[in-house]
Amino acid sequence: MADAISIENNAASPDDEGELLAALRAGDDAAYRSLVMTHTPALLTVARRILSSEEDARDAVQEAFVSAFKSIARFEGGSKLSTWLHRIAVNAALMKLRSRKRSQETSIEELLPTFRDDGHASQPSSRWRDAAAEAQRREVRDLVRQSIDRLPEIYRTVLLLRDIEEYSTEETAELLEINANAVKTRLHRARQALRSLLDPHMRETSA
Amino acid sequence: MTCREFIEFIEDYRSGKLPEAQRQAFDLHLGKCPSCVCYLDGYEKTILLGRKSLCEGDDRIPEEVPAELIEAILAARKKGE
Ligand SMILES: [Zn+2]
Repeated sequence: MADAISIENNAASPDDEGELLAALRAGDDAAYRSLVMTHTPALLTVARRILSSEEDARDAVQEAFVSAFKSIARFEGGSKLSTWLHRIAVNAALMKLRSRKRSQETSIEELLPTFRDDGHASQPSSRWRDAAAEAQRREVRDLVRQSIDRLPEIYRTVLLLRDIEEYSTEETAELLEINANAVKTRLHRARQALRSLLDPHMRETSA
Repeated sequence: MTCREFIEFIEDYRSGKLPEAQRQAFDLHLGKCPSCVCYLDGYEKTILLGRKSLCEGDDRIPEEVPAELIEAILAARKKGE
């Protein structure tokens, strides 16, 4: 990702952004090329997280740029160009996700903790190993990504938008066209389910 | 307080949104329930692992910017004009 980061840093200052915006509005080809070169890596990254197919992710990024080009005249400059584009790309990816046929998913209920009649946990939880150290291991990162992919879609998207893309509850609600309470409930269930999937691998007692 | 209640409101507890009296009830439960201490620990580590696996080191993501995608996007702009 070294290339993408250095390009990003070169384009970040607000003055440059104002100039770039003026050039874009004037229809300057070089400005469009610079915009696309600068932002494609980050937008592709978020689209790939939401969509599992590379082809779909690239299509979503292309659709996002096309829709951004159309509305560049209306861009207020209140937020950074990168923030604005990121949101358009998330929207494009979510739209693609909705249009796709759902595959068979694990039910979330199976992955939530269970309780006895008196409200106490039916299975006592065990302590986990150090997460920062575990995350250094490639096989652990693979496992985490595979586990996130196993979550039912409506939970996975909330987890991605809230915990990974760091959108607020309200922004996530708007992007997914659901209410804020549904975002909170789904996020909590998604984390609980992911915790259950990771638990056998992360227990201190396991190898 | 039961484990069920503790786990249901774990996010409010973590984010410090609970009123003082409720927060104390949560603290009290944690003080005598090692299982919920572990559950909370794993819940927070789950969030951290997600971030670390997807944001900082997504090994699936190739490093180079795909040139053909960039050309396709620029061509789509020309077509749309
Ligand atoms: Zn408990």
